[in-house]
Amino acid sequence: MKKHMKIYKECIKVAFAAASTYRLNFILNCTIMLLGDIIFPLITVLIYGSGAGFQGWTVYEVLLIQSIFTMSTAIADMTFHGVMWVTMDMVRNGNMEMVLILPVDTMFILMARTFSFEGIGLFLGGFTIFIVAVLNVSIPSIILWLQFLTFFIIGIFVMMGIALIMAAISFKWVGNSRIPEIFSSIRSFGKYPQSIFPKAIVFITSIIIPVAMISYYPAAALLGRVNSGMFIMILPCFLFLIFGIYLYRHMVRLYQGVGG
Amino acid sequence: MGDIITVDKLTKRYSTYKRGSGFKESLKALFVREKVPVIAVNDVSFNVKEGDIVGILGPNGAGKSTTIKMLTGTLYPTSGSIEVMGYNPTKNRKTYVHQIGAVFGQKSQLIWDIPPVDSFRMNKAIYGISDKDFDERLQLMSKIFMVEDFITRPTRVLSLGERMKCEFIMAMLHHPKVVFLDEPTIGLDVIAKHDIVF
Repeated sequence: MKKHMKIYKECIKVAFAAASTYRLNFILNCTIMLLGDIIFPLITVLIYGSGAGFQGWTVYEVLLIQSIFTMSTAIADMTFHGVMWVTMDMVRNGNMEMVLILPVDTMFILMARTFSFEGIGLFLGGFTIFIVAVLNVSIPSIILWLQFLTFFIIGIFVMMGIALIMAAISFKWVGNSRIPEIFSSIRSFGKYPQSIFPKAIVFITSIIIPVAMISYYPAAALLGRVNSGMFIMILPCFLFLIFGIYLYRHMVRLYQGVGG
Repeated sequence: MGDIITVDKLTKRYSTYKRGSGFKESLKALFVREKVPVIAVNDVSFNVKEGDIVGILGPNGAGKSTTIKMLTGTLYPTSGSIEVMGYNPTKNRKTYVHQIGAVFGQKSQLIWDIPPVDSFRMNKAIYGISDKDFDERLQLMSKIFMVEDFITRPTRVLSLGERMKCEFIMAMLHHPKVVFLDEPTIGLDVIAKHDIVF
């Protein structure tokens, strides 16, 4: 564990050095990410402003879900989403050997090496909307905050599971640039209140690919709308992450390389 | 001295797709692709004794790089066996690769945007090298390869030869017992080539 912490610390230093090398690129990327993802909650405000909305949900409650989604995405972008991009690139160019010769877990080192500061802007944007939303709903108790935190962390595990499955697919589906789009489409089901979806979709987003845990369940916890079923859903989330890790490691073993 | 590397009937097969050139063939390949089996390494056996420096020679596409990749544990053989220092490279990968060093001349371990010295520090953390050993080895190899002037410059501004020298240092910092070099002298001047071998 100590060794892994040391490696991670070194990777963060490298990420900072790389970000400071291309300062303008760093600032632009932060801004584009912020604008791209923050526009979504703003559309919600516009929808509610025109008199429409999601039945049974106030604008601040929906904003709460979407701000949690934004914060989750930002944390994932900073810490582990890079594994998907770098795996796709390495498999296509046959550079995986350079990681496989290192005496450390391949998945861990790729996540650590792709640590990115560019999600900071997105996180701060999401956090600001989160504060505004929380201040406009009934103030949650400590118990509800703890439930929120638990669901939020597990939601990040789900994101990690999706990223690893997508990265694993790139070993077979070499050079397919649509993989991140599939990734993004799957995740986007987590941006909305689950009550707006048909039962079949709710089943899929709660158990099969549990994206509901990314932002809906944590928001429901803060709003005091949790039920025992939501706690049971923690199990498929862990299973999903375990499956992602297993699949990724399995695909690494099948890596064939390219010509020498 | 005893054998440090034993390779017995090593074979690597994989499948690829055959595709003709031109628009018509590309269109055809959208619907039908002919699967072609490739035998990259065929029934290779050899032994290397401790302390030996051994080179593999062969024409392009003979399977030299594939053999080295299998020896480093980064590719799984289809059949046959490999034993290096008593290890099977495909099992206990992390323990095994800690004892070896590898340079693949066509690929880079260095991080593009930062100076090589920062990449060295990354490997220091990965291999758990002590501060004392790291400083001593880096100083020694910097002297041998005369890299003191440029290891603090970003990798992307270095010449191919300068980068290769840094790649070599990177592979040697953890003091490996066995080193696998695949085209390690690409871009190197004659003096540096001499220093690597001797």
